Amino acid sequence: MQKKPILALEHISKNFPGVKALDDVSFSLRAGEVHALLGENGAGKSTLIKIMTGIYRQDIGRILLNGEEIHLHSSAHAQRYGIAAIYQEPMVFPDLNVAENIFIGHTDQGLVVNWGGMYKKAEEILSTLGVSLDVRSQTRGLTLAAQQMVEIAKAISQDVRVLIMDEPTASLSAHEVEQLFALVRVLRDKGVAILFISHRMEEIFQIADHVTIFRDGKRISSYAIEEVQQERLIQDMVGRELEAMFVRDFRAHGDQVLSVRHLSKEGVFDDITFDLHEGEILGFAGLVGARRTDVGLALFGIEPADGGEILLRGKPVHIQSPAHALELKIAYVTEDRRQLGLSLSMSVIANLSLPQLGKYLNLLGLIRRKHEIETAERYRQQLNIRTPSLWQEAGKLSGGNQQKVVLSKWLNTDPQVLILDEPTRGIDVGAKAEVHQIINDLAGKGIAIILISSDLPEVMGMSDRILVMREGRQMGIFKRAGTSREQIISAAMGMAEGEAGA
Amino acid sequence: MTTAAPTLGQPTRLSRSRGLASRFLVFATSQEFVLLLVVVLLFAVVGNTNPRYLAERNVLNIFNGNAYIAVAAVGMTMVIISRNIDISVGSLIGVLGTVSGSLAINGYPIWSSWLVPILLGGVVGAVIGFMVAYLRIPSIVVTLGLLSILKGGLITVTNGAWITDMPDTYFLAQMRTPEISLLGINIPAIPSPIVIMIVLTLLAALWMRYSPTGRAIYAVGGNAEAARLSGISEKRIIMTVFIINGLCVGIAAVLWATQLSIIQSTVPAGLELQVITSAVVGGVSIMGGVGTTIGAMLAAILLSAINSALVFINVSPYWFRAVVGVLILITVLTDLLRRRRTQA
Repeated sequence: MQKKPILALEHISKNFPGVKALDDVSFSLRAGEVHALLGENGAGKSTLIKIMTGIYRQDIGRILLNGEEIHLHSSAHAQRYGIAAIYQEPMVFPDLNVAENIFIGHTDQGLVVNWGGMYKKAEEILSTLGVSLDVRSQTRGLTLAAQQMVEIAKAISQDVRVLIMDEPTASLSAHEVEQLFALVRVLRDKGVAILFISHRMEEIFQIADHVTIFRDGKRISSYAIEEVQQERLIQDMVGRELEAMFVRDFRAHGDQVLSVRHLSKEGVFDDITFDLHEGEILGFAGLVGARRTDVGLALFGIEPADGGEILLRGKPVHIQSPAHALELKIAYVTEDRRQLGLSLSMSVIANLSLPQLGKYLNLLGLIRRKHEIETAERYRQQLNIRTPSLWQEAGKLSGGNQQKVVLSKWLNTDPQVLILDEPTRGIDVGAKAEVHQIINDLAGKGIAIILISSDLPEVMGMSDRILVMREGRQMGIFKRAGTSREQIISAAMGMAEGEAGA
Repeated sequence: MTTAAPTLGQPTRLSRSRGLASRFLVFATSQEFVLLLVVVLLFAVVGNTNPRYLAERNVLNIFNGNAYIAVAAVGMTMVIISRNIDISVGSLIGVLGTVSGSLAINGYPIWSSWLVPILLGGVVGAVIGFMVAYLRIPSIVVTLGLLSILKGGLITVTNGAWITDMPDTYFLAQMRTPEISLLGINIPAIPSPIVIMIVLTLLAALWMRYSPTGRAIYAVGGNAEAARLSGISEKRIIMTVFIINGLCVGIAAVLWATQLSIIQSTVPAGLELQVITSAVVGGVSIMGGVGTTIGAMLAAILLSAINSALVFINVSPYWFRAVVGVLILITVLTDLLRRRRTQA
């Protein structure tokens, strides 16, 4: 506590359309400390990092470096102040060698690159870090861990004073994590301030000196690590206010529609087993990297599974392509609307009928536009899609209305299984409530729904049962009734108390 | 069975007139409409300065001059909408034209000298399509390679020998419709390239708009991943697009060859650029997913009209290329602005 803060954020707020990403956040980092940042997805951690590295600008608030206010324009600008970030996926140039990567972006080398000097300096930096890497080897082919070392060396070469590490351990093996932590300690002892983000609780207790918890864009609490217990941190992450206004009429379920047995995909997910009934909503909860989406992709045939069984109404099926999944009446509303869900340059009408064009043909095999327009008009009214015209390009609609178009598009395929991947991400509160209402009504009509969501209140409020995943493994299936948010979070973070029956 | 989706919220019933108004706005700001206006304006302004510009003969020449370009642009439109490109069309026109002429002077039936190049074009298109769709080689690379092969191959095989003395019945492009008088209006004899251009453009436009395959071309070009998730086979669509493009290039080659009394067995310089220019100025987005064959045809006519106008208003024809360049930049810029607004 004695040390003076290097980097201080004061009363930072940042708004995105419809979302308050950061709300009056004050936060500081001291030299020679490892400060862990904890929070659920969407708590505001990423936004905070982006503001600290100059990628976003705060709406309100000040950033102080050694007590002086700075205005960051870009990440290159932030690097000049000694603020650097490394991510889960290292951003190296694969065709350049280690030394070139370390010194990329340095302009103080004169007209000609001094290769000998560069290699020597690169070796020096790596040796102070206790890393043995051939500075002349290409970075392509290095392990992720080694690439991260290169990135850290790059930060050192730029006299880093604040190093932000955003889930650096997510893709590393246990041994590599140990190596990384050794390096983090070296940096800390050199007086670098380190902001460390991880979803693995045990790592935070292993490496961090302080921990700060974020929730809903606010800083909730900060502790010195030796003064705090896991349970306390989880409570702070989850918050106390309980699921308030989720419309969900719980009814008895119908027949079993889908039965998934020991579904696996090498290196992605393993041994996923669940049943799904008509009118049931099965939530998929988990943190970033839990591989929930990959299970969805497998069920829709985009990235087919390579082990286990899928039974549809009791019959085994091998879903190999989206076209095949469509035939089986499985629909998948993707997480990424813009990249995967919609053709932005096409009209609302054309987007809606795309998976079902075969149903709109007349005897000559031509599209009956009138029929198409009728469908679009029906969904516009039923889902309350707000657009000046159905001929409007989908790209011009707001996020919430785009989401409704995507939903309509898949509802129009008359699915028996509907997979919804983050259906309310990035849409405003009003549209969110509407989408929840729609999901509820769909379940009421007997559609079996898989709801993948990082929004914990949403999963808990909407689902009958919740399947929790962590790093590709199924941690358990929890009944909605009698399960607390703490239990779900604990399971998602891989802590012992997450054991529960299916 | 149709899934009646849930009922909720207040149905936003927009009045029919507002729907119509908004459809009209879409039409009035479309590239096709703007091009049509520009063409009419150009005829009016230049015709006012020099009435000979509007003489029947000159107008027909304007339409006829770029008809084979417009025909090739029909295929190019589909290729670009699917987010691909074909820069080998100029060379292919040269090769197929030479094939056509050779057949005609070597005693093969005239119809075969018209048909074989078209079918051959389809085969070449299938080869390009295969390499793009199945071998996943970017189309610009495939067609760049093909361009060189065709260009070099043509010179090697023919030694640049000229083809002359085609039979009189060979010159398809010089044929005209009979002059007819309908309800007191005299319709002049229309050169066949104009008829072929208009019929092909309209057929293609209707097909693009009303057939599932046509719709799928837009979907693949607009967002290939979303199209795949909607159960559309991108590979099949790309094959189809390049085969149709090859057939169009074949027709264009026949129109080109049958208007010449001497086929020089070389590749006409810069043809592919004229074809691509027509598509782009016609409103076909180089980013894929947007455009129509009608726009491309109107652009081809506009380019021809500008070329002719320069002569009539006594401006050096060397300005033509600069004017075309400005047109390309203006269209691409408006397309980008339009897109930026869409993505915002």
